Amino acid sequence: MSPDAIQTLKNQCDNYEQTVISIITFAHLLRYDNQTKELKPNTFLHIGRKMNTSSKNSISPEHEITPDILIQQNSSYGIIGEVKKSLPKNNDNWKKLLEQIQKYDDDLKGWKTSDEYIPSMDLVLLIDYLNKSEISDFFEVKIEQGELQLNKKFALIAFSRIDESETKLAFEKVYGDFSDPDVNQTLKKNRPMAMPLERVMKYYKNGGIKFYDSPPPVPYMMKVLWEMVFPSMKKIEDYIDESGKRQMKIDVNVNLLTDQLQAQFTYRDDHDSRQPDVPRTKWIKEAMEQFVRLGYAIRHDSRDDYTVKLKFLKEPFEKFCKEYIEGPSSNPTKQNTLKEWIE
Amino acid sequence: MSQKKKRVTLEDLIKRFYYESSDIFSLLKNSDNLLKLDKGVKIKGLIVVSNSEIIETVKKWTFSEYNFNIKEKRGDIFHCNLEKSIKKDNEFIQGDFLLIKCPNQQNIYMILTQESINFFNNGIIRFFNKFHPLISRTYIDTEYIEKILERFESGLNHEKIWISKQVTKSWVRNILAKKKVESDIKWTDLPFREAFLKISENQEWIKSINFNLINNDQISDISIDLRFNSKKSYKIERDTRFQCNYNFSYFYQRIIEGMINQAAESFRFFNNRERTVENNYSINPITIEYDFEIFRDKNQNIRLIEALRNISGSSLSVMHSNPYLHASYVDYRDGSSCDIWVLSNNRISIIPQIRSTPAALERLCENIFTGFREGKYLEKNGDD
Repeated sequence: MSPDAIQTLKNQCDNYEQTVISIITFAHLLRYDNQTKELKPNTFLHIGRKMNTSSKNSISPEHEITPDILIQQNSSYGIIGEVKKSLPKNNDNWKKLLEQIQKYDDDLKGWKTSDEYIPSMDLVLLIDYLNKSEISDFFEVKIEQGELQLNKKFALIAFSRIDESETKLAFEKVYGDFSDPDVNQTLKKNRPMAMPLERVMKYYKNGGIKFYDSPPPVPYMMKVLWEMVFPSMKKIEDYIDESGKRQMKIDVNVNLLTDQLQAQFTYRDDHDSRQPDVPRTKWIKEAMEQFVRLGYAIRHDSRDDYTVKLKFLKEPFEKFCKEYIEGPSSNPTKQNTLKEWIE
Repeated sequence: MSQKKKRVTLEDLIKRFYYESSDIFSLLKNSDNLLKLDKGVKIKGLIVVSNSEIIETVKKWTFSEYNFNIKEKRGDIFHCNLEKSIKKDNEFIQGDFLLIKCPNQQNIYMILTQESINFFNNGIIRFFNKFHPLISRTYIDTEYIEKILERFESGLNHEKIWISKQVTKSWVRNILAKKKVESDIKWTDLPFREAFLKISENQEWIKSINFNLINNDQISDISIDLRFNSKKSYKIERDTRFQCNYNFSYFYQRIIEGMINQAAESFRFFNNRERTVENNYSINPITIEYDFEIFRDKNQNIRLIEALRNISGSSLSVMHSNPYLHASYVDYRDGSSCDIWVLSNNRISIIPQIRSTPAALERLCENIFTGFREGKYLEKNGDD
């Protein structure tokens, strides 16, 4: 397998992380009050939220849908939409995107209001700046040709990174409008609005949010489990006791891992039963099965219980991406004990 | 006829040092007397941090190559003996040391011995390293070393501090060079302020420093080689090891006490950073700041990655390296983990995760300071 495939996989993981960052930063741009230097009161961000469509929905009537992002600015206005950091090259697949937007073009139920409806709502699609011309052309044509007819206002927002003394994420309206004058004032055509990531992240667990309502590439999940979860499941004293061993054995259960990841690595402010359970158990199960395939874990008869063989890997993410593509190394390097490694 | 007063021998004074030091005052007195005899004795020491009562931790584990015994306990001072067999060299080293709970400090301990440097480094220090992170090392930076030398000299009436040897580190400017940080050992002969000025000008940071006390009269006499004529020599290292061959109590009051306070401050700073259920997994980040835009040059991201990769017993995964940096770090010595972000040109953010012990965080930051560059912690007072 070519190194390109490994690099593509690593890029997919990076894109996943950047999508999470884009969601958070876009929401912050709209929720942050520059005068009070605080988040505007009674605004909400939901990274994925189960909403109900009406019987009039042109694509999926009376169904539950889960948009990537939902920003509620107050009890009478909100924005709902999707985030696409990367898009398939074949623009036949873009039609699915049209459908997704059309699906949201409805009086959706599920807002944080007394009756769960909101008087005014707009649609948004966040895209990478590199794709902005192609996608905006595509949307313009589809709207002109009547293939995309929307009742709600729709805006296409391109995001791009700006590297000054602080790394920023800039958002620029490339197509459409919002119904809210304040939002239109913030997001103007050809006038990118930049947000410093470091300052934004302070409001959202400092980069501790690692998942949104879309499955991550498997090595991404493996990395989070291997680095942020498994090592802390052993008692500190065990590290002294077992420093002469080549690996530490850790018993894990997929459901318990799911609970832990959901509590630790998702945005749960104003969480309620409409929040999707992210990450989903099946994503974790898939990562655990990869650990089994690559020789880092064994599965027990109960199917959801595993024993992880925590080896001391120097660059786990690199290794997982490589082995995910190429399979386990047929000529593994000698595994050091912790004691040998330290001394 | 009056009875002839018995001459006090070195052995007597060593015995008193180990067996009759029952509090900090008697310890200082016995140390001074031991050094006063001028028989080439050096007191060596180290400051360590322990989450709980250190002696309980030490008693809990046995390691095949070590035999540890507590000979006696007097107040907060334990007189200990350690034997170590080194199979590879068929060598056996043993000696005594004092383990002292520092006055008015919960978690800070001092280890003192007058044994050989080999026993101190390869016996005592390696033994205590085995208990990491329950017992951990602590560090001081170049700025703090300069500060405590100022304090030391300010109390001297007729003497000045002269640096005799310095071990420093600095960047290798050539980004393509394999080694990114170079070490420099310099035998020198300079008043300490001058030495520190040069260190600062050369953008170096100190690993250890040896200094002598020189009488003001001798300074102007160019026929005297100051380095070799002073009988008052001291050494301090950034990992809080120290040595002293004269007037221990003054050294303790002016230098060691400061290092102890600094260790306590560091422990407070690095402690309780991990994400817990009780605090709803909230995050308590550490920020290292530089006084110039070091990351304007994106090659510095690579240098930082390499410094992190060189930390023993740890792993690093780099998600994104240019123009911003995001990596995740695991310390396999205790299962601590954190995210590391560089999102501005003069700051590194360390985001502790569900396990992030103070020992692991201090070790990580010290490795950034020595392997990349010394910076300042935001929000840490650092004063004693």
